[in-house]
Amino acid sequence: MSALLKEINEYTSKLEKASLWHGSEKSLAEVELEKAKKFGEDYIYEFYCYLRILSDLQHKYHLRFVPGSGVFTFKFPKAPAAKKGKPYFIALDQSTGKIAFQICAATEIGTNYKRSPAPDISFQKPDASDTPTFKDVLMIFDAKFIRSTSDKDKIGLAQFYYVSGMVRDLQIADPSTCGIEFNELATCLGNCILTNGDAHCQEHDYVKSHSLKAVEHFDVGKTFKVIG
Amino acid sequence: MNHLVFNATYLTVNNTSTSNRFSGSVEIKSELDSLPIDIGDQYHFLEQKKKTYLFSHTGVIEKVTDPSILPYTDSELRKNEENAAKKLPPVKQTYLHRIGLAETRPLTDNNLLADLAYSLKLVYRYIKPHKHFESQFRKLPRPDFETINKGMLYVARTGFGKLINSIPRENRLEFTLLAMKEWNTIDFRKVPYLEGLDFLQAYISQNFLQKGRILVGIKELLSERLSQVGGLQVQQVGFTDSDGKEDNVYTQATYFEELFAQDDNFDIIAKIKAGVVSNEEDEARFQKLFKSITWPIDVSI
Repeated sequence: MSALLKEINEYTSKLEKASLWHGSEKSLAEVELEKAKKFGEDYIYEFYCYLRILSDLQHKYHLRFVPGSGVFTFKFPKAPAAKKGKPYFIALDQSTGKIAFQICAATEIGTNYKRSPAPDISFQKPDASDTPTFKDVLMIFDAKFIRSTSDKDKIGLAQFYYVSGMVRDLQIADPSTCGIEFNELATCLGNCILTNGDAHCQEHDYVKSHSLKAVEHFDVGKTFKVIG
Repeated sequence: MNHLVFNATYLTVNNTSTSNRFSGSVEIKSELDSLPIDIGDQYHFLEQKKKTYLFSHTGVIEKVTDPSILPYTDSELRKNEENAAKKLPPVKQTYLHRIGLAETRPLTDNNLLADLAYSLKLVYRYIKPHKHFESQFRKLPRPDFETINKGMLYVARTGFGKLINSIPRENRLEFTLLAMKEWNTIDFRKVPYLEGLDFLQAYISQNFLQKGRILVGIKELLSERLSQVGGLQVQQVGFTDSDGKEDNVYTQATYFEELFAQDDNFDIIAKIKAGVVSNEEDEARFQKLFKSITWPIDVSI
């Protein structure tokens, strides 16, 4: 039994360390008894999607990091926030060196109404200010994390409508004409719902009719598939 | 016959042998003139070595002498003067009990309190089990005494308990709520540990290991793909929120890498189950003993 006990002790002391954020001492899986959890909001997954997109953009652009201020110099907010003082990235045209666009994480974007949607990832015009409006937005990606190990789990219709509603609120023109170039993610050019699980449906025309693409199995070590 | 634990930190041992510091006698100070300790009672010594608590020796009590009254200390005398001025009674006198030890022998196998905690009926502070022993001596239920004596382990309960108590407290509470829904009861005594282990495996996988893999994925993107991005210090990248505390992705991902290096597929669950099977006889004994005691989920603050 002593070998097993040693293994249990080693494993649990590592799990104890890993399951609690080292700085804030908050749980990595904060318990929220609200809708948020069900709706697949997860800043860790959203950040993974953000970085994976940035990695892909590097093939066609030079990237530059724009630091935030104070504690936000290299740290990103966990929840939607104003753009001012938060870090983001800019993509520069490789031949001209000019700013092609900005890539922001969970930035609140103004509309004509009392509503500021904050897509997880927004591609903004090169001259977008610290208080961007819908006129600055070229394309959005929203990430939906499915907390399950089962392949049967897929994102819900409400999540699909939510992203569709954001695209509508932001009045985004057809992103395929905005000139952004991906490499491995070329098929993802458009307003996307990214998920580690299954897409809401497999019906290409339906997803397209919402001016969206659904990207499923967008996860570490998996091959993603685009619907729409 | 009583079964006792002497806490070596709180009492004085007058050892008569240089090779065995728990030979001779122990001195217990008490306001009581009589203690529930008799000749023939059996004891274990609990010792603290740095942050580890262990049952180091066991033996039998061979002599209990009449207690002597200790003279008042200086501070007690001062207190008595104060009390007299206020017309209060003097402080109680302290009795010194001398207990003669015999047949002392060391305990060596599976004798750490942290490991035995889930196999002892009296323990319910699983994360800090020493809290149950913060006195010069205490009585032990007879089965607990035997468990320590033989270094026996309730593998199913230990595996389950150590895992659940290694995740953050809020998640222990959430797990309990989910388990209540799963088995439609607040009473988990009748739910077998092996079923509880499966449920716990799913909870930890979905809430922590899955995110850990994504964190490791983020670290790889940062170090392998984005480290050359102008202005970016990849090791500094992370999250913060309104309270201003900062979490580095790099550091946290390293913790998960260490976890996955030991066990990439959460095989520890299968190993615990195999351990239960090979420990059949003791598991059956413990199942009976713990029939009326619920899952060892520590939610104390």
